[in-house]
Amino acid sequence: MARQSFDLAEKYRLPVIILVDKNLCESDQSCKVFDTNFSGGASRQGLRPGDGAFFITNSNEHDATGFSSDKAYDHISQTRRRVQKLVDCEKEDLPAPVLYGPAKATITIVSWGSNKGAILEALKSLPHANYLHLTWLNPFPRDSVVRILSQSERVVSIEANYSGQLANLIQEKTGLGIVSRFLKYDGRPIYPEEIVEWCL
Amino acid sequence: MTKLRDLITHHAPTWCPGCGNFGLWGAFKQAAVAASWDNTNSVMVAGIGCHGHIVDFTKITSFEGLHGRALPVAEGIKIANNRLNVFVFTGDGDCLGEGGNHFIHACRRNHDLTVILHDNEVYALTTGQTSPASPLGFKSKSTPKGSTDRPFSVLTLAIASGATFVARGFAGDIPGLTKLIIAANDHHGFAVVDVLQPCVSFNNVCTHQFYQENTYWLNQDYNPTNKETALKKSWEWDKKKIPLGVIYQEERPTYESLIQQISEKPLVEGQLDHNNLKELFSKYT
Repeated sequence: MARQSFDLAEKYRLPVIILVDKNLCESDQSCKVFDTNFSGGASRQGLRPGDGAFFITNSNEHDATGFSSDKAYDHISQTRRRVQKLVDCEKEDLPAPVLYGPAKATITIVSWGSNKGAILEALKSLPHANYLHLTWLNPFPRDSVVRILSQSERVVSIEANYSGQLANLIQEKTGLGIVSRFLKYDGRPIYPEEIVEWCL
Repeated sequence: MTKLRDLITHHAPTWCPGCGNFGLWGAFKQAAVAASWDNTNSVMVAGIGCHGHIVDFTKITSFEGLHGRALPVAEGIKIANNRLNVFVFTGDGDCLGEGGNHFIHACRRNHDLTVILHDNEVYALTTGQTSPASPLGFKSKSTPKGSTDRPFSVLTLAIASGATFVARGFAGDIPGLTKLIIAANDHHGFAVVDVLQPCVSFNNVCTHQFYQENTYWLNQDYNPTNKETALKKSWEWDKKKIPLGVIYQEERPTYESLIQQISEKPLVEGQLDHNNLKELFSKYT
């Protein structure tokens, strides 16, 4: 995902934010050696200062050549250009989220980040549950999430925050309200036993 | 050779008629012509404020970044290509308000940059709010009954934080300011030129007339290498007693001269080989 983030940043000339959580940042885990042999990816091209060419990189609203502009026309066309990047990204690069466990289940757990480990562990004790792991929040995989969540009798959101930020985002993006929210905000990671207890 | 006409863009300045930025802009262009700064050797970085629009009117490659964040961008550019002259345009609000923390640490590290601080003692682009440089009692939209906060001296702060070239110019004295900007860029290390820049729309205290009457150039006898006298001089601000010129100068290794990775050639001239982590991973397998 980190490698893809760099490629997306190059392809769309956009900042890409990788959301992490406390447990990911403060814990250790061994993993397989990364495959560092790969080809492809976006090319790193672009003008550089000192090359002799003149260009402006501008955080102010600007025209197509980079000069600051307060014209309504420029604001509209540049806003559309920026939004189009996300539209294109959704079409060309957004992967479908992965569903762990049986394709059909009475309980579907939805979460993100390091909770995945505890949830997969809990699934071993929950034969009627599956788990939808979200890695992309914006662009958001709306169609896949609607399709999977609407097949389930009970959707459970598991989050390490007070308000249920992911469940709220899902509601905003899909219109599906999630009532069953296991929310933990004591600064500790989520444990498999807690998930099993909540889902029973 | 850079000619004045090489620096023209097809955008006319949007500053108010009479704005001090015109003098500052003129001085920078004169300096660019005199010192042959162009798109093969120079880059401009600006923050947010009236000052930032200078990049639209000057045909030198530029980055107009976020409010208060011109310095970190400039540091990155300088580290990526230390052969470039990197000019940082910032304002008293941008540099001392939003960007205060960046400023003191850039001074401390002695990055080889030239900072041109458009000091109009007010947030002007947002139509007149009190800035960290506004005088005590200053009336503005944000302090209608007069500011209760005292300004601080950017020169004193720069010297105390470790800047190695600290000067003050006046936008109404283009020849004098031109020389200061060239000297600042010639200096190896972090150079700050505080430019007194009258704002004709939102500051009726620090006017053209006020600066014409109350500034003076430091004479030949003044020794800018003495830190103690420089510190005293840096907070001198009174009627007829606002000093112009190089207040402090010191030779000290620059940040860029101390990092090994660019001791032989700039980073941009090297090969990108950052994908190879094999050795690192095999070490821990």
